[in-house]
Order: sequence, then structure tokens, then C-alpha cells
Amino acid sequence: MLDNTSSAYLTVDGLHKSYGALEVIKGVSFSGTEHEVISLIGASGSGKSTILRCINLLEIPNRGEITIDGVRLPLSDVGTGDRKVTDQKALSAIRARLGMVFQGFNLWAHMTILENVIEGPVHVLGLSKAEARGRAEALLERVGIADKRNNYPTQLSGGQQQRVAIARTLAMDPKVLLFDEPTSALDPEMVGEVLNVMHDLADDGRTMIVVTHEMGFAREVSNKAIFLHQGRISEQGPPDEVFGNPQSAECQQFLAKVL
Amino acid sequence: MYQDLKFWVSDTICAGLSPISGPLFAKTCSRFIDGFLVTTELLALACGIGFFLAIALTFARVSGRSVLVWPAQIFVYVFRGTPLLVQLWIIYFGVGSLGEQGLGPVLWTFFKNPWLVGLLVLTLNTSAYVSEIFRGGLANVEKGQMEAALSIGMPWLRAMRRIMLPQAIRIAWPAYGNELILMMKGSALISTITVMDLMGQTRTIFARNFDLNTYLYAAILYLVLAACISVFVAVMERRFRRSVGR
Repeated sequence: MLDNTSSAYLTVDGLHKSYGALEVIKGVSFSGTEHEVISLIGASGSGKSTILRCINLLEIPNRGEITIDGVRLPLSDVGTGDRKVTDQKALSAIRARLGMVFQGFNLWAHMTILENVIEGPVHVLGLSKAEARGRAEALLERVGIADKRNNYPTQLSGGQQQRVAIARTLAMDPKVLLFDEPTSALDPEMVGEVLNVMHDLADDGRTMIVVTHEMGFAREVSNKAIFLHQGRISEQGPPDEVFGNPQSAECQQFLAKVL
Repeated sequence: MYQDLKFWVSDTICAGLSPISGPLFAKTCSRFIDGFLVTTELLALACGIGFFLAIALTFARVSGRSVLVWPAQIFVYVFRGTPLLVQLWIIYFGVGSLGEQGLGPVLWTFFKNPWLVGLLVLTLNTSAYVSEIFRGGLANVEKGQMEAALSIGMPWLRAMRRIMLPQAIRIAWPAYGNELILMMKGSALISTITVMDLMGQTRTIFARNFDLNTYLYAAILYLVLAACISVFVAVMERRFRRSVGR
């Protein structure tokens, strides 16, 4: 089921990314089906965040293709120069269906919590303010922040901000959720509240790709774990196998350190 | 109608001031107030139009497209790199010297009017400076703010306008306030192209009475204008601070 490419919803094929002479992703391929939760794990600098950022083209890969729901990300072919986005409109449409949650929350500082959550639905999806507001309030209720709707982001704790950021992403009704180390910037006592929300989303059958250092979460919640080492996939499979019986020496060492 | 309003303002202020001001000021009061209103009017228009022009210039400069970057960059370089006085004289006397034959009837109507040329040059000049101020503000907005906007599928220009610019303006606000004050003082130079602004009126009055107090009155009126600008800047700054919850 896991590697059944015919029903793959998201395919990453032969991804390469360099910054100048430094090659950080050295040919990564994987695929995921709908309702699947994939965890990307590995040491700092192994390239997991970069892969995630390539999936919605916040970083432009030097080589490789990404396909989501049958639509190829609009990138020019590899030539001599840099690859360029060939169709900004198509890219915007794809991004609107990929929700991203960032390590640093990135809530818009000049807007209230409620304004943050209705911004996308109103100004990207074209919903009416009233409709977006109704949806936003339900989502804020769900992540447990409804009483803070008129506050500004700086008045909230890190855990609260990240839950708002998740609500803001869900307000776009995305097909895939991308989590980029969502708990790494949080104080330890706030990690749990964010993981709980993510756990619920996985239970709802959301398609998720999670870059994380929370090994407990990766093992318990995901259907597939991908271990990255120096820009390559060195191990992937069901989390019980990757965590319980790692084959590669790097993965064994890494797990010994973090578990 | 608008002119009547200005006369009424001038009469009211002068009537109110006459008991406390000296005889010199009382005699020339309406001229001072008239000049004061011309300066205020030109500043409000130049800064208002310049504000939006500056935003367009800033977006062009950070767009990453060379067809937009270069013209905007050169415009800013030229208008920041030459004195306002030189710009005024080149455009009023230089372009104006082409005359009706050279410019055609429409352009000539524009370039023979010192008030319009003054407004044009002040607007272009301030937009170049303000664009630099806003660019600095943009550079200090966290990169993640833009990424969050792009990641929900917001197009670049809309993300700039709705997410980046409001925050850049908040950051750049003190510097922008400073530019408003500098503009107010710089505007005195338009008296050299025969605009009867506050400085123009002051010079005319001085040429008649040779009383150095004339310049003292002008200085006081400029200070009044500076106080108004400072209050406006401070009020906006407080509003901005409240709107980020600090």
C-alpha cells in the first residue's frame, strides 16, 4: 500500500537542491497516498526541511519533479541557468491546496488572530467575510483559542500561536498539510498541546507530511517514516520497522542518540 | 468656493491674532496666512501622491524583474542624488524655456504654471526618498511573513500589499515622519520659481519693509506646521503600536 505509485497522491522524484556549491538534497524520491501521514526524520542539516519547502516551491529544486494530485509543479526544464516557475497562477492554485505550518509560526503580526485566519479564505479563495468568519471561529474553537480571537499574535504564547497557525492553514481547506518542525520553537510544556491538535488531524484522515524531532509522535501517528542522512533517504518504511529495526548504521546511531 | 474658504480662514485667524501680534504682523497677516495655506496645500498633495508613488517604486525595486528594477532604481538615484533646487530650476526654467512651440499647448499649460511644476517636483523628490525608507522597512519585516502568505497561494503583489507593506510602514514610520519635516522645510525652495508659498510671501513682505522680524514670523509659522506634522506622526505611531498589541 505504501509504495503503490499508481494511487500516489504526492510524488517526489529525483529531487536535488544546491545552495551554490553546497548540495543539500542529493536525489530524493518518495511518494504518499491520500490520508497518509509521512514523517521526515533525521539530524539537523540532513535536508528534511528543505524537501518540505521544495514541495510548495518556497525553495526551487535544481533537479527533480514533484507531482500533486496528478498536477506537476510548474517548473521549467533543467537548462544551463536557474530553473524558473513557469506559471505563477498554477503555482498559487497548488499552494492554496497545500497548507504549511512553520517552525516560527509566522502569524501576521499586524493582524488579530481572527484576521489571520480569515485572510486567506477572503483574499485568496474569495469567500465572503461573514462566511470566512464563521469558518474561522469554528476552527479557533477546535484548536482551543476562540477566546483570543481579538488579540494580536505577540500577546499569545508559542503553543497558542502555533495552534492559531494550524487553524489559519486549515481555513484554506488544504488537501495536504506540511508541517515544518512545528514544535521545535516551543517551550517543552507547550509541545503537547500542539501535538494533540496534530494527532486529531491525523485521526481525521488528513494527508500530512511532518518534519519533526518528536520521535514519539512520528512513531505513533505516521504511516510511513523517512529517515534522511546527508541529503539522501537512508531508510524508509512503516515506523515500527524504521524505529524498531533500523537497517542502516546512520539510522541506528541517530535513533540511539535521540531515543 | 474653496477660495472663499481660504479667505475666511485667513480673515478669522488674522482677526484673532491682531490684538496680540505687533503692528507689522497685523498689517501683513493675510499675506502670511495665504502663503502658509499654499505651503500646506502643496505639502499635503505632494506627500499624499508621493506616498503612493513611493509604494509603486518600492515594489518595482524589490520585484526582481529587471524591466521594473532598473527604471525605478535610476529614478530614485537621480532624485536622491541631485539638489531639490536644481530639479526645480531644470524643470521650471529648463523645460519651460522650450516654450509653447517646443512643448505643445497641453504641456505648455502645465509647465508655465509654477504651482503645478512645484507640486510635480516635490512629489517626485519625496517619492524617491520615501521609497528608500519603505525599502528599508521591508528589509526588516521577517521573511517568514512573506512565506506564510505565499504558502496559502497568495500572489506576490497581493502579499506585498496586504502582508509586507503594512508592516514595513509601521517599522519605517519614524523615518517617514522625519522625511515629512524635511519636505516641509525643502518646500521653501519653490519660492524660487515664483510660487507664493510661505517663503515667497515672506520675501515679498521683506522686500517692502526691510524689517528682519518678517523672517521671525515666517519661522514661527513653519514651526506651527512642524508641530502639526509631529502630532500627526505621533498619533499614527501610537495607533500602529496598539495594532500589534504592544
